[in-house]
Amino acid sequence: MRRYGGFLVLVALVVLAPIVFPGNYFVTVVGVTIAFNALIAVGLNLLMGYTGQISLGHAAFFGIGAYSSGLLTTLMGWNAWLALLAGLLAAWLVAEMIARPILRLKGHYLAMATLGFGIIINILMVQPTHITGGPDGLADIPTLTLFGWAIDSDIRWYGVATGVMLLGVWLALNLINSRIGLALRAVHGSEVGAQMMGVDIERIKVRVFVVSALFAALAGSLFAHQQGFISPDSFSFHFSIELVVMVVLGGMASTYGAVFGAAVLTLLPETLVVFEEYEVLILGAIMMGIMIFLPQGLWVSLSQKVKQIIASNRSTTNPSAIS
Amino acid sequence: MGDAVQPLLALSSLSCHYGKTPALRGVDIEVNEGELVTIVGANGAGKTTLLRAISGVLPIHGGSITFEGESITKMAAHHRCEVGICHVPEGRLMFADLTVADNIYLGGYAHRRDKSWIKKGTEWVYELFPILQDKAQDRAGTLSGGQQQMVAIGRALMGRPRLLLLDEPSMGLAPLLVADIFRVIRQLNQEEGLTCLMVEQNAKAALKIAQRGYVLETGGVTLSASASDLLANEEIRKAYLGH
Repeated sequence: MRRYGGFLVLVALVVLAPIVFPGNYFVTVVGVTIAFNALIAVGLNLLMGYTGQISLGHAAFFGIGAYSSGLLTTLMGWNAWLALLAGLLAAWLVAEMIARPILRLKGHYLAMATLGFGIIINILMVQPTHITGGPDGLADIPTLTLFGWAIDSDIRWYGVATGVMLLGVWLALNLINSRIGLALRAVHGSEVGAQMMGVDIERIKVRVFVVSALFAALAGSLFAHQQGFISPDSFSFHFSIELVVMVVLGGMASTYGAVFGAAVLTLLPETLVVFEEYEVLILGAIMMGIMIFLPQGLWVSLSQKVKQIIASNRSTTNPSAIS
Repeated sequence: MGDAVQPLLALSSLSCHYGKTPALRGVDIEVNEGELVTIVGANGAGKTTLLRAISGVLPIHGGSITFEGESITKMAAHHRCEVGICHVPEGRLMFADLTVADNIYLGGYAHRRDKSWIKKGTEWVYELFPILQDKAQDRAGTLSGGQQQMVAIGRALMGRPRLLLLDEPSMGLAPLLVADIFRVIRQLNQEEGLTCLMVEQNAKAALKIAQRGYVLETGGVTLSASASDLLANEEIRKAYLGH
């Protein structure tokens, strides 16, 4: 269970936050956004942090989930859960189709290809105005109902969003600790080396890409129902970049780091509003500072520091150990 | 096949090129069961390319590869280690961020469902390289060059090799460590009967433990003889053995 100690701490934080700060805007409203972003970042981290493949187009999968849910429930009158499943299926099919050709590319070329993919999907949201509402977006998306219980308040959405996020974190932790997780990290270390060990690198890269796309699409479906209104702006290139920043800021190849990065990058703009027009400037400066002084990311660097302090305390109290 | 003994590995007019630059031009090489064969050649002669073509991580453009009498020319790389072709790559290609234990475990990835082999293989590797057991939980990237080479060999052994491909196992190692590594390779070949195909800059040391050798020059085999004949050959001595 030691391995999942961190997970229990995360669960405790999520459960205690609304109890300690009841009705607090940052918990029940911003908290929902953090949970959605964290879910996507945790999925993207499987692809980027663990497998070493970049994607600058993951907002597209977030959008595919959101628009599937939005369109199917408003235009076709589908049941919301069925629409959510359809959104996951759509994301799966699209990911499966593009992953094979795209993941043959490496480095900058992979970044360019995923960037292009994200832009194409965004255009598909803007252009068919008669279906998607174009740049004006899609309104009146009904909220979700769970066993006849409408999820219609901030605190209820907080429960659903964080619950799904915790499920995503749990799945990611289990995947990373499995043989497949080890193979993913081997691909990151050396693709040729992994191939020599018998890892089917093409297949495993496609699989992790699909998993990360599903995480994003699930967040997208929930996001559409929670907001009740979606527009292409939320799924643009800009958000894809933000997702990458969340992963890098928290620390690559750390699931908790991805959650932490998502929380920081969602909270910062909210807290920096006091600086008014200087908000973006200060946000940029903070991010540059973190990358310069904590290049492994906030979470990874800070947890290493804590471990070092604990270790040095132990060695001073234990005379047999050599410092 | 009319031959009484069928070679374990047979390359027939194997060719391979990078873009338009030929790297291998019609190479014929055979390795018999239980042999240790070495490939001698200068830098850029195509030695690494040859091993990579055999393990399938590099596409070939002509010729065929036969393993245990069956063509593996079109077999994907990840299936080749399932049939027992295991590669100790040039530069070791460690999974630097993973622990030594994880690196070794990954060597058995092709046999991951065979729990009893994983256990047995791991014990075997630690028996061959006891130092790795002490370092099991260290990140592979923090090990010395010699220890990393041990991990690379151990990792390949976990693949349950029928044929072990060794690419420059002595590269960048101190002389004392080179002797250690060669002793283990010799032991694997002579005591465990493991078939090896080895590429080595240190041709003299390699020929001393090998039974046969091939000389590779600009992508083609120019000479094939027993290791002792190659060691005695005046031209080979001048060109590759340093005197």
